[in-house]
Amino acid sequence: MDREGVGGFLESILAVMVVITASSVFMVVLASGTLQVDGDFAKGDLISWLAENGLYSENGVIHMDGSNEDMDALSFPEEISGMTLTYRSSGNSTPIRSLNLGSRPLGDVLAFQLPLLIELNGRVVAGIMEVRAWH
Amino acid sequence: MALRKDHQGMAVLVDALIFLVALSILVAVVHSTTDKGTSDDRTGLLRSYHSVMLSAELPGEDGSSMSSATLGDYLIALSISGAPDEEQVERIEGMVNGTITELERTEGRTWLVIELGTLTFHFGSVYLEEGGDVYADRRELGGGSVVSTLFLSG
Repeated sequence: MDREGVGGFLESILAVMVVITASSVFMVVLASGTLQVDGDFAKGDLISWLAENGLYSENGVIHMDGSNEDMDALSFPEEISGMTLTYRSSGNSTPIRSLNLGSRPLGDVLAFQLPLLIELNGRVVAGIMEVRAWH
Repeated sequence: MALRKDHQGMAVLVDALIFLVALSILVAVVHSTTDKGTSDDRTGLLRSYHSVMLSAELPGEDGSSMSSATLGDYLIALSISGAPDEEQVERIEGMVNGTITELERTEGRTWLVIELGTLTFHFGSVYLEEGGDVYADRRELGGGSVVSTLFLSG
């Protein structure tokens, strides 16, 4: 093997290393993108489920004197086994109503909060619903 | 033989570089798409908080005809009656502080600008970072006599 042959051989090794590095970066980018899409999808599904079951409304009012009796009969959306919901007024960390639904948390927890109108002592006020849900 | 092997090495290197360029373009596209999604999310979130804030009812006061009015209604009434006094401005502040606090706690610097006719009122601390993004949700109420704009920075 002369000098040109050695050069070509080293270039080949360098090229393979570049390809492997680039492929690794590519895989990481794809994986992170997939994770983010999954998270958004689950959150959107959960918000729709909460609205369908009268626990959240984008434009309506949620009453804070609601009974918790029927909550055990709720069937959760796919891939959700339990959740906690906490309602409070905006800017105040004291909970007004808390609901513990389903099983205890196992593994990763999806947590977010949404603004909503709540009826408190006969008055409609700006409130916050804190959601923690898990698989 | 040695020359052919060298040419093969160069060909692989060129292929790898082409692949790298294509990958860089792909990453740039994915990154720009992700940024747009985040921007949409923050704008939507700002809109939700703003809607809830304007739809909340005023604190009850004995004998007050405005006790069941929303903040939006109250602002329209103030724009008709003229310049609000200090007590009325404090009342507005009490209604909007919770929303500003919530957004500052979870999203970033938040402030509200309310225009009542020719008067402008600021609530929260205006924060403009050089080169930073600022999101805004603007609402016109009462045929434009009231303009409420909620800002979020960062």
